Parts: sequence; C-alpha cells; structure tokens
Amino acid sequence: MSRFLARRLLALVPVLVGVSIVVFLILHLVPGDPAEVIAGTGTTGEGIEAIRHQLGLDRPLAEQYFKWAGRLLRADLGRSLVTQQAVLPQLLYRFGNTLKLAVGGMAFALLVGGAWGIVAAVHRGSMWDHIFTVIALAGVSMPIFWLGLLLMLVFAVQLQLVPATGMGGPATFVLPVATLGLNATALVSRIARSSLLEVLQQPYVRTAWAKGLSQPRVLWRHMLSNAAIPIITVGALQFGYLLGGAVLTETVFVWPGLGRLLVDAIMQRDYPVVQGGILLVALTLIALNVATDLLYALVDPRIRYQ
Amino acid sequence: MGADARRDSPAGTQAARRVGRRRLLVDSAVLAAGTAAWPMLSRASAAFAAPVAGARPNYNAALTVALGAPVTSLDPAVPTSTLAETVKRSMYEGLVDLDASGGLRPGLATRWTVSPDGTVWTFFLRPRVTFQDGTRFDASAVKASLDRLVDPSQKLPYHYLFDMIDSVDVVDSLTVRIKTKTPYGAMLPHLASEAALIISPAALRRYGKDIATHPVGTGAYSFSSQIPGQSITVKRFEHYWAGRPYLSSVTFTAVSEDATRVAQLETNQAQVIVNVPPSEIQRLRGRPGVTVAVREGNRVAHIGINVQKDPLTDRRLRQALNFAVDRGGLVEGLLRGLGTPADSFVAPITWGYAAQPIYRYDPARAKQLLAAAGYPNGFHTTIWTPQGRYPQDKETAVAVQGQLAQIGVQAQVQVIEWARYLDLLRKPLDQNTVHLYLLAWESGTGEIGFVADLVFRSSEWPPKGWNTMFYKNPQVDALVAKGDETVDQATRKQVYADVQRLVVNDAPWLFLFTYRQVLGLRSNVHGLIALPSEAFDLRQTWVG
Amino acid sequence: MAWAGGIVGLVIVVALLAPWLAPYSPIAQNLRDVAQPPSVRHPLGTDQLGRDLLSRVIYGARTSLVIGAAVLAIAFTVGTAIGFAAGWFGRWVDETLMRAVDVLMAFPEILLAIAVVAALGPGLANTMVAVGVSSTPRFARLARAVVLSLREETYVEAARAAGAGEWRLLRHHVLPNSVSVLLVQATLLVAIAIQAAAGLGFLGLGAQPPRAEWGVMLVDSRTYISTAPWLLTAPGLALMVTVMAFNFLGDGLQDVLAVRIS
Repeated sequence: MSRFLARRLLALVPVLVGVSIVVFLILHLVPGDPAEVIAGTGTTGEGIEAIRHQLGLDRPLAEQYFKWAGRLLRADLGRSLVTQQAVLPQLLYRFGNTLKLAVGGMAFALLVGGAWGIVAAVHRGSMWDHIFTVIALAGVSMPIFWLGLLLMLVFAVQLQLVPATGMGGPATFVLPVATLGLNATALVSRIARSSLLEVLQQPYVRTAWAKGLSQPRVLWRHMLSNAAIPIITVGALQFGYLLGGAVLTETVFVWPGLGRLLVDAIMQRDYPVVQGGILLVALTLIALNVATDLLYALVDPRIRYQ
Repeated sequence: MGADARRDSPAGTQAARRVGRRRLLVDSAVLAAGTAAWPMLSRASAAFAAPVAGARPNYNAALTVALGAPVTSLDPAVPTSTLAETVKRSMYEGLVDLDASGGLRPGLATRWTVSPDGTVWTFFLRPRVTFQDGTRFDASAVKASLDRLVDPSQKLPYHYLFDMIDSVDVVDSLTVRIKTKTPYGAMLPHLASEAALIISPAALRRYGKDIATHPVGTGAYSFSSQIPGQSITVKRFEHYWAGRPYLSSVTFTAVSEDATRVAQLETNQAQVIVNVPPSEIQRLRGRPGVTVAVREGNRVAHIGINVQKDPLTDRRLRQALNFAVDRGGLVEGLLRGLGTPADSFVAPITWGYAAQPIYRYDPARAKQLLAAAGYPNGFHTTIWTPQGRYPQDKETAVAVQGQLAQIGVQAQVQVIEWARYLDLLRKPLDQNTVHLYLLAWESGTGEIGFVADLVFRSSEWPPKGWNTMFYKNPQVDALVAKGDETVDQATRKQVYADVQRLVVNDAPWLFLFTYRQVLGLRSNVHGLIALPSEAFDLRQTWVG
Repeated sequence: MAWAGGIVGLVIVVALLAPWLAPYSPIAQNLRDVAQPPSVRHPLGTDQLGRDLLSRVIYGARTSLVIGAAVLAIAFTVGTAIGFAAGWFGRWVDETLMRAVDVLMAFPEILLAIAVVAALGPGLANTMVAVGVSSTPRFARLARAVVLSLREETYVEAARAAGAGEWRLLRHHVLPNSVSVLLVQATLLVAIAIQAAAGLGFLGLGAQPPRAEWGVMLVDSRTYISTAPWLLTAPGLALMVTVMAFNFLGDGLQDVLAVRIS
C-alpha cells in the first residue's frame, strides 16, 4: 500500500510540472494584455508601457516562468496583476467558498438522491419509478444556469423566501446548493436505485422476501456495500464536475467562489491568479483521485495494489 | 466601464491635457470668490431622488451598492473604471470638487488663484480637516500626494496627467503653490479628476505601493474591508469635516449579471444598482419600494470605421453605412427609448455639441452611394463588439449588421472579450486587422475638446492614442489645435462646430446613439448625486 | 428508449429541414416589434431584436447538432486513438500518453474549455474545438480501459496465439467489440457537448451572433426572465429536451447492448 502511494505521488510530479507549463503557456501565448485591462481606455501608449513595466510583463517569457516557478517552490503564488492582492490567501478564501457549495451540493445529492433512489427501487416498475427516472434524467439534462435563474425567479423574486444572491447566512446557501447539487442528485438517485435493485435480486433476499420476511438491516448493509464503489467513483468524478459547474452557479448567484474568480482572471489575463488557481484545482482533483483509489482498497478487500 | 468614462477624461498626450478647459475654468477667479463652505444639505435638484416630506435620515442605515464590475484598484493614481471612481470618491477627496452638472467647485481647497501668465496656481486649503487615520490635512499633505504623481520614477499610470507640473511648494500650512512648465489651461479639471484625490501622507509612508489596498483619505467614509474582486466595505468617518455622514457603512458589490442585480434590488439586498436593463424598467417602476432614475448620458455609441482599410477608404461608402442605419429604431427597439439618436460625436449635454443632422435613415440614398462608389451590390466586412461592456452592446452590433444587410453590405459580427478587444484595436496600422468596431466614448471632462483631441487628431493613431479609425483630416487637426488654444468660449464653440461638421461629413464613425443612465434605487434612498460620468457621489446620501 | 430515439430523430429532421419548416428567416429583425408575446404571426413570440422565436428555435436545432457532431468527431477520433494506442501498446506509450491525459484531466472540463476559447477566440468552430479537446481525455481513458479488458479476453489471446498481427487483432477483435461501449459514450457525449456549448455561451464565449444557438439564446434573453419569460422557456425547453433525449438514448443503448462501464 505505501509503495503504491509513493508511486502514485511520484507520478504526480511530471503531471504538476506539465500542468504548470500548460497553464503558463496557454495564458501567455493568448493575445490580450492585462495592462490594457488595467488601464481601460484611460491612458495612452506610454501609460500602458508604464503599467507593463511595473508588472514585469516586459521581461522575456522564460524569465517570467522561472521566476514564477521559483516562487512557487516557496509557496509564494505572487500578487494579482489587477488587484495587487497576494494570490494565495485570495485563492484559499475563494476555494473555501466553492468547497462549501460543492460539499453542500454533494450532501444534498446524497440525501435527496439516495432517498429518491430507494423509493424508486422499492416501487420498481410502478408509475412512480417511471416518473422518478424521467425526472432524474431531466435533472441531468437541465442547463445549470437556466435552473439557477428559474429558482431565483420563483423563490427569491416572487415568493421572497430566500435571498437571490450573495453569500451570508444559511438561507443564502439554499438556491446555489440546490442548483449545483441537482445533477449529482439525479446521478446518485440512479445509482442508489440500481444498487438496491441488485441487492433485491440476491437469492437470500429473494428467499427472505418469499418467506415474507423483510430484514431492513441486512438489506441496508448489503445495499451500502454494493453501492459503495459506484458511489465513491461517482462522488470523486462528480466532485470534479461540481467544481466546474460551480463556475456557472457562482456566476448566477454572485457567489464569491473560485470558479468565477478564475473565469474573470482568464478574461483579464491576470496570470498569477489563473496559474495559482488552476494549480490548486488540479492538485485537489489529483488528490481526490489518489484518495479514491485508496478508498477502493479499504472498501473492497478484493482490490489489491501491487 | 466602457471606454471607461471618467478614465477617458484626463486622457492622453500633451495636447489632450490642454483640453479640459471648460467654461467654468475661465471664470475661476469669479468662482473662487465667496465660496467659503458649500452647504452640505443642498441636495435638491441634482440628487436623483428628491427628499420626501417627513422622511428623516436613519443614522443606523447601511447601504449596499451593486456595481456591474469588480473594483480593481483603490489607488487614485491607477486608472480603473467609472464604477471604481464611485468607491474612491467615497473615501477620498480632491482640491477641486465636481458638482452634479459636471461643474467645478471648491473641494479641499476653498479657493484658488492663477497668475496672469497662467503658470502659477495658488490653492488655499480648507482648515480643520483630518484624514481618516488622524493625520492633519495641510499643505504638506497635498504636496506629498501631488509629488508622488509628478515623480516619473514612481511610474504611476496617471503620471502623464501631471508631468506639466514643475514644482509643488508649501507656502504656509494652508497654502500650496503649483508651478507649471508652460501655461496650462486644464489644471483644474485634472485636479478634479480621480487621479488627484489626496492621500494621507502618513498612510503613503506606511504602505507605499500597498496604498491601493489601504486607502486613507479625508472623505465621508473610511475603508473597512475588501474581498478582492467581490466587494468593498467603507464605514462612516465620524470626524468628517463637513459633518457626520448619514450612513453607517456602504458596501460596494460586483454583480455582473443584470438579472441578478435587479433581483437584489427587488429583495432589498442592494439599495442602489447600476445599469438597469431597459427591458426591466417598466416592470420595476410598478414594484412598490423601488425607484428607477433616468438621466441623460454623456456617452456616444458608434461603430468606428477603420478608414485605411479597403474599401472603407471611400468616404461615400462610409456615408452609405450611416444612411443605412435606422437610429430611431435602434433606440426604440434596443434601448426601449432610453437613448437619443446621435447626430454628432458628442452627446447633447456635452459642452460644445452642435447637431449635424445629415444622416436621416435613407436606404435608397445609401444604395445610390454604394453604386456611386462602385459597390452596387455591397461588400463584405466585419463588425467587432465587446459583450457586457456597454448596455446592449452585442445586440447593437447585431442590429446594425441586420440593417447593413438591407443595403447589401454583408457584415460578420465577432464578439471579442475586452482584454483582447483593446489590444486588437490599439495595434499600429500595419498590424491592425479591424474593419468596423463598436465603442462608446464619453467626454469625461464634460466638454467636446476632450474627445476631439484624443480620438480625431491624426497624431493620435494607435499605439499612441485612441484614433482607432486611423482618421486623418489636416483641417480637423488644425481646428482642434486652434480649439485647444482658444480662450474665448464663443469662438471656441464655433471652432468645434466646424470640427463636428467636418468629422460627421467624413464619417469615420457610423454614428449611433447616446445612452441614458439608469439607476435602480430603493425608494427610501435620498441624496445620491450622479456625476455626468457614470460615477456618483455618496457623501450626502441618506436612507429614510 | 423508443421515444428518446424518436425525439433525437425529430431533432435531426427539424435540423435538416429548417429552411422549409421555419416560417421566417432566423436573422430577420424588426426593431419595432421586439420581445412580443406569442401570437398568430409569431407562434412563440419575438426576441429582443424582433426576430421570430420559432424560426430561431428551429434553426437552433441545426447549430446544436452540428456542435454535437463536431465535438463527437474530435473527441471520439482523437480520444479513441490515444486510448487504443495506450491500452494496446502499453509500456512507455501508455505511460507517456496517459501522463498527457492526466495533465488535461487535472483541469475541470469547463475551465479547460474556457482556456481553449480564450486562446482561440470565441466562436462556434472554436467552441467545438474547446469542448472537443476537453472531452477527449474522458474518451481516451474509456477506450484504454476497454482495450485493457479486451486484450485479456480468451478469444483475443487465442487469435494472438494463432499468430494474428497486432493491427489485425486491433481491427478485427478489439475495435468491433468495443463499439457498443463507445457508442453509448458517444451518445452521452453529444448531450454533454450541447450542454457544454450552451454553458460557454452563458459565459459569453459561445456561438457568434446572429446565429441561432439555444444556449446563446437563453443567455441573451436572461434579462427578460421576468418580463418576457417565453424568450427563455422556448430555447430552454428545446435544449433540455434534446439533451434529455440523447441521455435517454444512451441509457437505453446501454441496457440493450448490456454494456457495463466500469
């Protein structure tokens, strides 16, 4: 196990270096200039040169990269070109907010989706099952920003039950979490349904049914162990997806999260923020993958790593 | 936002700097007399919402203002957006202040004089003013702030506005003398601009370059906290020289989605929002507790034409484009009537405006001109546009494209994000690939000379200035230069009328319309003063 | 599944016959007649430029399908090629290709797509490339997994023992047997691509005007959500139903073909 872990971690190094170079190159080779963004239409050629010089953007590309990478090794992500704020604290704050949304969305998905899937499985083939299946697929097929705007219109503007936007008390979490969690909810419901169905097919369960017995505890345990692997897989995959979906959700609900920050930073060519942010996200996803692999081994003793 | 409103104002180059002289400037001696202290409570006509009988200011009230874009820097010496100027002006003040009509009035200086040769300015400072950090406001504080701008080694983006200054001298604790290298007409507008907001010298010493995140001024509100890219909160400065401000705090949030801003206003999450979309105005007016305030704007939307690109080098084709566009239809359909068809390159409220109504919607005439120029079946071209930078910007480009198609001109619309847009527009001629592009200039100083200087002179071709049409007319160059040097306002107005006649006839722009500004407010918000740019002054704002 | 197939078929027919089905040109404007509610002349109303909404929704089917097909072509060809090569040849080929895929997988798809669009500039073609590129790693992984499992199958082993060459094995044994898995994924990918393109549109990076694209139509009319909701409901529903149909179809295929993707 520890050898496996060491190998996985070692394999990360080239990936991370690759990610950092890709991010750096994509951004710097793209036309567009942060100095222009900062200056707007307010200054002339010389003014823009002054800004460029101030930001060190007039240095050769390789020099800029190694300077950045060198600082990176000391956990210094530099300063935003646009806001002049240190990048790392800003990223961590935004990332924390996105995590709140993503974790909330995941919890929502597990609770609602799980219950939903069980109901559908128990009433398999019934009208309810069909309706649930359709709703689940509709949920996956719903454009997230459309859903967000509709929820906002109904619950915030018309009914005035919750605030439309912003991050504050618990009420402000309701709409973004529900919006972000919907796709995952639909997926979880389908997995829960099929896992439970599989358990219900087991001979001993059928025997139990035939005997007129129901053993909720046995059922529950078997379903859980059966569903654990797919749920972990989906959880890990969905989590990455949630981080991405957060971009749209954060835009609609003006959530101070990482996704929106990165989109704005890409548009403004705020290199240090984009580079740092994508690295952070990449690291998280990679860590998540490793953790998933380890979890597999813990959950399912049949899986071994050489 | 946009061709960023006030940022445009003190723009440019040597000559551009001389532009700002507005009518008030010439009368500055008159203005300076008898203006000891302007009354804090004269919030009548200029304010958006008139005071309501019986309403009393609530001193516990906090205000949330939803802006359209994040505020990037709070350093006065760094150009940002019009919206950021609102935030800066809540914390900082300058020697010269702006009123709602764009006029100049005493600010931290109570009066000023200028020497007969126009090179020595003396400012008499307001006594008993302190910065939010307790530092006393005096002549040395003014010197520290201005010296920072004047010093080229600081490499401040706004340095170019002040490099005409030879020295800033402390005469006594409340008197400052500014000497310029040459006579300089636009001194006062430059000092009234956001660039010359006065910073606490103690804070400057302490924070140095980090002053952008630790702003300390003399204004009604002091900096409290910031979530970069998201929000900024300022709180009441109890010792504000003009009396205790009404609001306990103001939070500025960046909300880029129109629909979200509107929802925030309706749910009272924000009490003031900018740029209400035209489609929502009617509905919002019907909502209790919400007020929509509309005011004439300074900004002229247009499709710039690269006049050096074939076949647009032919004036008749450019005129044809102008005849092909139904400006009234654009204003009605896109802006829901919240605009005015343009008949010059400045707005009717801009000083110096002279209507040139020669392009009435006339597709037949447009086709004749096309045929005369040898393109009876039209030609192919591209229209570039930013998105979300101006109200209905992309839609405007698409609508124009549709109308050009009626006369056979096939234009392809290309949406380009702002960072790349400016970069592409400002490429030198030999690398420039733009044909038609949407932009909206605003005369930040409130007078025509600013735009004339910066956009229409042939010396301002990119990458130097903003003549992104690569337009060149020696007559216009000469007249604009003359306008800069002319002091008599009536003559000057005549000079600029000639400039407008020539430019409109040459048609380096496809003239479109001026926008009206639309703010959404909760009905209990009073005393919000909108400046002619899109910035507003919150020093007298209160909630009833 | 039958009805899902029916809807997909319907969308394809509508897309093909758009010029004959649409009552108006999708780009004909009438600025004096904007954001009108549904009427006899305009069954779905008009949009913010006075264009007939029904015609735009119909032409939107075209755009969405083109996006879906192009993304599929890119992700399928490139992804499958990478995955097959990695899975089949193993060793350093596998190692190199999969590390490259890992680098791409380290970005959330939408951010990767945004970065690609930022690099290429917004537009329909670039949207397709962006979504295609960002969907490729997923395909590469899947194809590799399929090959890995197939190469251990007895009939492949048998063919190899019988002296079949590598290419022959790939062409005659691996490819045909992975078709069902890939087909299911391909169907699902179309759904994802249409949705992702709409998402890019929402962020201002999608198809260029005046082209009718459901996602961009949704985005452009979002300020009308409370005053002219039909502007959002029509393209929103069209988008949702189409995506759903592809999802259902993929789902159905999965059951029918008894595909298990692990």
